[in-house]
Amino acid sequence: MKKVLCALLLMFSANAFANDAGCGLGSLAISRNSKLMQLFAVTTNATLFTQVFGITSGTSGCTASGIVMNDKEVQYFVEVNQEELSREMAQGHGEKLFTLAQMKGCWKESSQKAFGSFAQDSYSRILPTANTTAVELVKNLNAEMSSQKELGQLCHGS
Amino acid sequence: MVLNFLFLVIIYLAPQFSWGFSPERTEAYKKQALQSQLARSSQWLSLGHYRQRLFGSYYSPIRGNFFISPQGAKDPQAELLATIDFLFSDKTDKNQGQCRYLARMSWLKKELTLAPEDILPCPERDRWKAQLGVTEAHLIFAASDLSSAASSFGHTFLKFHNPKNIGKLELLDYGVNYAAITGTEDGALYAIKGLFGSYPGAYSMQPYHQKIREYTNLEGRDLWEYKLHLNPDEVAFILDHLLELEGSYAPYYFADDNCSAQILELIEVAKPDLGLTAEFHDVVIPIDTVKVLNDKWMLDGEKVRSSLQAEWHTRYAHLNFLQRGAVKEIIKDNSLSEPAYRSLTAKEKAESLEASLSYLALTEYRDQKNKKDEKYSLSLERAKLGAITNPVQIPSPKSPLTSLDASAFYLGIGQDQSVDFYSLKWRRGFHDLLSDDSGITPFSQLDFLSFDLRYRPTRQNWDLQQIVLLNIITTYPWTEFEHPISWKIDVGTEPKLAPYFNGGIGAGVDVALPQAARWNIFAITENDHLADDVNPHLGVESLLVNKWTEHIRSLLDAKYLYSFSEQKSLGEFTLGMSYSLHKIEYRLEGELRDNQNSWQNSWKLSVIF
Repeated sequence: MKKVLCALLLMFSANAFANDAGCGLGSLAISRNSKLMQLFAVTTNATLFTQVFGITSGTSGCTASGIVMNDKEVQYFVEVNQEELSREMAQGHGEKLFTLAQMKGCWKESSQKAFGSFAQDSYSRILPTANTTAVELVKNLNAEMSSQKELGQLCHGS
Repeated sequence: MVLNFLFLVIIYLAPQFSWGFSPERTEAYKKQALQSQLARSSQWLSLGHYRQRLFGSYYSPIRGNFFISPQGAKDPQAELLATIDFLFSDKTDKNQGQCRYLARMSWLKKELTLAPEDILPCPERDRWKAQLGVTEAHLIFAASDLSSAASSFGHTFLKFHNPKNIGKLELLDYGVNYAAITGTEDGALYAIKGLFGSYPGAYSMQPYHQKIREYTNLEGRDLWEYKLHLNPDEVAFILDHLLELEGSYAPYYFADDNCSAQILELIEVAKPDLGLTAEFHDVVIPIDTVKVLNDKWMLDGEKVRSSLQAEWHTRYAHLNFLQRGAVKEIIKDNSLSEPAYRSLTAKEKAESLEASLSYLALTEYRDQKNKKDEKYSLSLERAKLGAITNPVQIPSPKSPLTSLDASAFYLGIGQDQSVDFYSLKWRRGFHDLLSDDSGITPFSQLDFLSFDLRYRPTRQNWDLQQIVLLNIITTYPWTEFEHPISWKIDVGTEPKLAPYFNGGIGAGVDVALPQAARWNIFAITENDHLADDVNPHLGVESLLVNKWTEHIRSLLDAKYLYSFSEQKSLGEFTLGMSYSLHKIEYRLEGELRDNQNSWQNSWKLSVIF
């Protein structure tokens, strides 16, 4: 019960996380099922970093009460999907990339495609090194996007 | 003016009236609940996750802080009365009462005639729910890992959809998962503890894109999505109930009290009269729960999200000969300056790079090797080539709903060394090599608990032929890039109750002969009559399984075994043909054994349904 109350308090102190340090997902190593585990994992449904349901958990800096905070949604999404995103940026299309496009205000399919080509063209600037962090990725992406007038018009509210 | 003033006075005074519960009213609610036998209603029983024992008594697996009455887990009525006390008592902190048990409260609002002043607001909870904004629920089935027969079991979880998340934003919806909290244990201990319920199982919630990453990338499984026929009120009720379960857990049993059992119970909370869980008696197999929901018209539409593994296979299959050579160079030598790659056109280069990148991503997840630098240099190269490729269209696998029923009867007639027999076999699950493999791992076998009885007219008696406890055959094909190990294990009793243990490891290749086939070679050991003197046999086995058409499959198996203690060898050849239509299968199997110059043969014709 105390936990619930604490969590409710957390809800109101959501602003405490409002710095730009990312969501700290990187510290959560995602465990792979080893071969031996696969052999036995008949229902394979164990995750190591299980976040206990609901409002008690604000595990990473981007969630409060188990829900990703509005202003952290892009950051959180990029941290979780960084590998996929960088692969899709290189090829200029993909589901995760187009989801990110929509999060950045590109609602139409045509504008998502334009976002895809933009990300591909700016690849080396959005991801200047192999070790670019998710926080840097988002920062670089925003900087690159602000210089793109046409894309800005296509993607409102970005 | 006067009216306004009166209004203000009422508003001002209202809270003072409403925040005192009256013991008389609370007693009246209890009386009403007893009179209308609410404690036995399906809704109350589903809210407490009560199950009925053989002799009518109730129990609930939920532990933690869920039950209010000390007898709550065993006594639905005591819990209901305690609930009414708890919800309508001044002694309870108001957040701990009605806001703690949202679903119980919302149900009691409908069932009891509550005085308006006894209903309290829960603004924090309302805000939380508004933020989640859920109106729809989807059932997600994580199909088996293509390369692991054991995962034929599958997994289910729920996705809560917020209508605000239109289009691609649906990835921002939330997935609600029920899982064992296992810590870092691995291997056999994990399995044993899981079978005997030593892990607590609990719900967790994560953005759906995070679940996708976990299943389609990390575990290489396709995700199947079905919209559940639940109206927004029913979905909200499930969410209220999930909040009630905060801080509770249930012992997690891999076989029966697993993810799918709990997800069914959760749906049952909103639809208590569907009788979903009543369909399951022993083992709750996730795919069966999906089928039961489908049979009850609870599912709508079907969508598949392919795994990274499927993406890589599709990409590689689309490459031409030169491109495949280039991909091999890129992956093995990590070089873009080799002749094969340089000779390609720009588009061919782009496709080769994309294929290589998906392969590297796959191995990075699977082998936990850091391939950051390789991937980065390939990505830079790929980005420079510009927008010249189209998204790959991954062919949709067959729906898991088309897969065979896990348990089946086999009726057969046959001859064993010229003696006629009738056979009756029952398997609890799942499938064998000759079964229709729609929606399951191809060229694999997962057979647990089957009983084979035989009646011989000459002897006029029924006899136990074989019990299989567990028989798994997992075959992985060798490719240019990977050389995985195939393995098999078979534990049971034959003949009668004489225990045996067989196993093998080997390798296989896929051959397109004529449609799809896999050929495996195993090093094997067979050990029967383990209770008497141990007489191990070692040998080799060649196993070829063909899929001729969608309906016809065949199996050709040859074994050579040698016993060092007896110093004799034996050969065994098996041929099987199977034809299946509308979930009924007809099968012919023949076996020839060369046991020290005497040939023994047997055959069997069976119908499986």
